[in-house]
Amino acid sequence: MLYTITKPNTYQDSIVLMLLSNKLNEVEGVNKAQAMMATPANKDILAGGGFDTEEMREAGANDIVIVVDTDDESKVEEISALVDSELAGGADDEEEVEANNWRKALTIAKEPNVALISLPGQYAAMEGMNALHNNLNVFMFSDNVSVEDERKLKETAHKKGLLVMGPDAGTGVINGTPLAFTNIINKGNIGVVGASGTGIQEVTTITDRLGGGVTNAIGTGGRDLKDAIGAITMIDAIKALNSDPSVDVITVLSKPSSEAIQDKVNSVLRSLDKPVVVLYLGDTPEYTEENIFHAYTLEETAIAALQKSKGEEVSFEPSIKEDVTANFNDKQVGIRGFYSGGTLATEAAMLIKHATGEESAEDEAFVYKSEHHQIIDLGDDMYTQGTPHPMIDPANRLKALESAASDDEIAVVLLDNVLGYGSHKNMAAQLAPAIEKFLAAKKDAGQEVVVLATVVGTDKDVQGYDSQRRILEGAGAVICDTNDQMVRTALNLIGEKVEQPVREVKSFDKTNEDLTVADSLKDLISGELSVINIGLEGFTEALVDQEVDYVQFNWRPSAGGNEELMKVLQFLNHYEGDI
Amino acid sequence: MLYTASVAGSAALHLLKTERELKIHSVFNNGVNLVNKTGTLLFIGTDKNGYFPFGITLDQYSVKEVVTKSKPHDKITINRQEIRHKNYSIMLNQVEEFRPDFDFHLADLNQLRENFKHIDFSSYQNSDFDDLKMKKLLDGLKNYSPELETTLRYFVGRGKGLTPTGDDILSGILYADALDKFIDDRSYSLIERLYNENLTTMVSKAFILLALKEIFSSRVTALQRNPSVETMNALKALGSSSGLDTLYGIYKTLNQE
Repeated sequence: MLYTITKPNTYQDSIVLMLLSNKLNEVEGVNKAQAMMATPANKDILAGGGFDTEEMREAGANDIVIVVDTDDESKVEEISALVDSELAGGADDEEEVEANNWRKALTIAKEPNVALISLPGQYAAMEGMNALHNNLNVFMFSDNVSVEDERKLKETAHKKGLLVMGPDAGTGVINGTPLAFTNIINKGNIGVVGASGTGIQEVTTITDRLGGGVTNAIGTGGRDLKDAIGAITMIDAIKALNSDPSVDVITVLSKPSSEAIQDKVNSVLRSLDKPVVVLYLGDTPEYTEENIFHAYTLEETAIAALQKSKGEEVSFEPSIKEDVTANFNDKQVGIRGFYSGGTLATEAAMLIKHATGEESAEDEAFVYKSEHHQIIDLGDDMYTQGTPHPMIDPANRLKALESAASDDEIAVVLLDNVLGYGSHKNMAAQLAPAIEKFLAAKKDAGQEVVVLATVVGTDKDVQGYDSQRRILEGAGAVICDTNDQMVRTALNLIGEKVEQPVREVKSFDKTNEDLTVADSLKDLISGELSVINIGLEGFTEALVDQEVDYVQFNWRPSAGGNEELMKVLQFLNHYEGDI
Repeated sequence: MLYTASVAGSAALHLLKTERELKIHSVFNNGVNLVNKTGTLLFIGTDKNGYFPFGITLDQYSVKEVVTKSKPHDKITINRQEIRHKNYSIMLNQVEEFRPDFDFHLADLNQLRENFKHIDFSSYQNSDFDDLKMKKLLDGLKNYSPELETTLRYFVGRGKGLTPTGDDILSGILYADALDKFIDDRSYSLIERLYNENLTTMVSKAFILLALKEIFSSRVTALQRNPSVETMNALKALGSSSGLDTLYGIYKTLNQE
């Protein structure tokens, strides 16, 4: 008896249909079977081969038709299921890249060395530990991981010669491969380690645009330099970069930390032969060292590292956009920064404070709120609860610009547009109408205002660096090359200026730290990357583009999501004593 | 979610300029097909198989997402710089146009004939497309006669897969004809009429109707600029057998008596 299955408007390669036919012919109880696109020529072949059925005759040229000859009607259901599964998965001639448990992920991954974890915080620490037990370095995008868990993870990693990048690591470049929210940067002889995501992005993209390159930019997570963690990742990463012969200059970025921790990091830096540029963003550096340049801003950091990488003396002159003018009225004295990048907002706050001397009020909603100026990080947790990050979703910034239209104190608005993997594919086009509307509303109100914008990216980023600049410019914004230049231009417009810090050159004795590095860390920064991605599948985009081997681990909580029970299972899985 | 198209074929761009609304016709592993009311096709996929005149190219990740979020019959609206589906938008602001290569005069026919000796076509001898069948078709195309319709109906839509073997072979023959004209004008008209009769898949139909206008995909036209075995192998790697089928059509045409 002949049975016909028709799949309307369904296409498969000929090899899939041939394999499907072969599989159906192997099913016990099937006399013969054939699967083809139901074109008239193929229907003649089917009819000639003894597969002539009314349904087959009715199928169209864009349908797959499967005709099965079997005496056992009960087989039809089994065959139908087989057809569905073969057509759903069998056509993919690419390698298997998905797993739903550790065992499978480790089996199908090709010599994996990094677990990229973006699970909710309560599960991230547990899976981070699983990754370390399986000798994988950890890149942890997840936040809401406790300080205790972070310390445990980092201590375990340190003992095993591995690295935990994060938690809350938004950015990283490992041997030229961008991870998470990261730009495409030329490879080069500058190594970066940083406790700040957009800080790394600003420094590496400026480096790239000026012709330099960064092969490794290791994000440590924002808390790494806190006393409770002790800069474990920062120090291991510095030593790893020091051991890499392709690195000529090491750049270190962080917000200021306690004196003890800063001393600890500086002690490691003072034991290196390689030149170093260090930025504790927010501090005004009072001195610099012969081998360690203490920078003041992100742009200065990038320029200093680039100059050192060419064996040149550090020489940085901050710039402003000279030809920008506006006639503000007496009330218009304020700067408003609506940022998506937290470190860029911090840098703006620092420069405005240092220039104007205005202290910031205590207000969680602002990075800086003084009598006249306001800097907001719209990527802060308090703005992103229930809404995506402003690098992905423009909604909060559009709202901010809309309400800014009725703020008569505004003279200058600052905007950043951070490009790269993970970010909105065309943020400039989203912001442009809001900028036009804001400028028009101000014009109607008889006020001149200036909107300054900076684009953090490279010409290799998918959004297109030049086109993003052009779109913003077309809307009436003045485009600045860096955040440093943007803030200084804003200050200049309201008649203020931030002075560059005067730094005396100090000498310190060379320290004698143990600079030994585990081979596994050397392999991480100079060997082939192979990733197990646990969580957000979107992070595989960069891996696909960069042709990096990866396995997507489609994680589900064990023990029905019962955290206590999961912890028990975790303990038993890694218990090495007698039970 | 927004995705950014990198390259679009000239036929695809033309369709986007003239249509405001399309429909998803079919979804498969490597991409989706969109159609307008008259059945003209637009393919959205990766550049894995080169660039197509009616194709819009996205990166592999975006294609995977688009495939997951699309269903047959879904409505697509076209704006100035955007292909919009209810679940996603494909931005066209950075798209580069893939222009068909009409420089057929550059082809080195002798070198092509020579290098074809390195490609194994022996599997066709015991197939529906052996020497006799090929000779009958080529002779029919050259010296038009009413019997050609029967021969063509045998080829059109014959074979498994997205672009059946008979169509791919004919596509190869039309390319070889663009390099060195031999087909009678009446034969072109007949091919066009048959391919408008829905005798094959709409993907094949789109390829052949463009081939009749001497518009071919980049993997094919690469042969006129670089007749090397490597170029042939790159074309051979296309699809399961489509590339080899196309090469077979070119080979048999260039070596016909």
